[in-house]
Amino acid sequence: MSAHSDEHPHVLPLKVYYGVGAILFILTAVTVLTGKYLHLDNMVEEVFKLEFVGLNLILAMVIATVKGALVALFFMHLLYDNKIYMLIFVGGLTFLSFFFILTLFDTVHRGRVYAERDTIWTESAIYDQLRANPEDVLSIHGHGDAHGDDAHGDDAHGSDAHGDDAHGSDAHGSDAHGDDAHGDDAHGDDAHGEAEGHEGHGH
Amino acid sequence: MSQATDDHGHQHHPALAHHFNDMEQQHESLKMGLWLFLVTEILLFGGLFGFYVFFRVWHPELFAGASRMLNVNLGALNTLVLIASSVTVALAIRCIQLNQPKKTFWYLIATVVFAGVFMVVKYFEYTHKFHSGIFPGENFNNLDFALGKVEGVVTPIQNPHVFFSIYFGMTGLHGLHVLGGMFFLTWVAWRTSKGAYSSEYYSPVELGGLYWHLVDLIWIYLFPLLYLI
Repeated sequence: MSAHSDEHPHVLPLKVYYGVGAILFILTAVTVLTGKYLHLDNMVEEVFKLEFVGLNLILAMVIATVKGALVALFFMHLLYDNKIYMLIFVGGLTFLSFFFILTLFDTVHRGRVYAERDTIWTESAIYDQLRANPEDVLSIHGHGDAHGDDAHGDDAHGSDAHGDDAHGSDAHGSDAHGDDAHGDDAHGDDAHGEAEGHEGHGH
Repeated sequence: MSQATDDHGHQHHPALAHHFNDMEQQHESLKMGLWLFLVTEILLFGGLFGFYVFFRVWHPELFAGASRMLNVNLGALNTLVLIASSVTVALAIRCIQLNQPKKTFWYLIATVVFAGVFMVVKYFEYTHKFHSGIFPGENFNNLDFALGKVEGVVTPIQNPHVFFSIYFGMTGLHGLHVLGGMFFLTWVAWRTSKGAYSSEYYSPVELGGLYWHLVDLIWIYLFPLLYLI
């Protein structure tokens, strides 16, 4: 030990580094093997007659988080250092999770909103009058909400324009989020062009 | 606060900047600045992880199908290589804390070599994809996907280019970080060999190490999310 080591009190023993490294190697092997050969959803369904989706993903993320925590706590010394670093790091992750969760509220459920609005479009008599004049519909629509603009933006990327059938396709178009999605909902890989008429089935 | 360093402090360490009281304070401040930088990195990658999460929620089958085109063995190899480089850079910091700059130098070189191996593997992965027409976005022109001819894929995959936009975007940005880390750690190794660092002053070694661990940490999540679907 150097004479100055008391100024830097957190020199960890070698075995901590080797031990953590070994665990990280093992966990990598575990996540590869379980990811390739273990189909948890099917197993749970066979054994417990319960239907789950995404158990493999959950397992993989738990393993990744354990690995990440080991790296942060030991290699990055978060466990031993001034706790202000821990606060900065965990604080950043917390705000990132806010970003994810709040955005998911929108992206997961947006389809429902548009399904409702579609009913309003077709059932409300006032829009029958407006439909007689597509220009008005478009302008109202444009003011209506920001998502409508989304859908228009998507269309601009390359699929053909929606102009002819602004209300109906629009509602579903934004549900499906983009021309990539349109293709999915429709039938083929080259469905970009044709997809427009089928978007309604995308739910 | 009276520190042990003040007692013999007729002369400052040459690396002590004038606006810090002592080396300890300088080191802690630098580290705090680096942690703040790491948080901005997390938010930068966070946007891309969001891209991934939202599109996967919408189209799980697209992700499950398209990821079959990735080579799990190469991805796993790169994971092990990065973990090994994390171990060596952590040992480099430990050695400089113990005032062993020679060992530190070699551990840093080992880290850079591991990083190089990672980049070479990545290079082979990328070129293999380019040869079979797998590009991000609109340049994607591999017909096998659309026809369902990819091994392990039962039904045709619509719009695989979405997955590969995410794949190239995330691994590309991560690769740039690996490259940046290689340059920085090479510079730190060179400075170490010149005798610039000791147990009294080793901030650049530790900061470079922390950055390197974050690059490893991000890959720890990228690997299962992209390769093991």
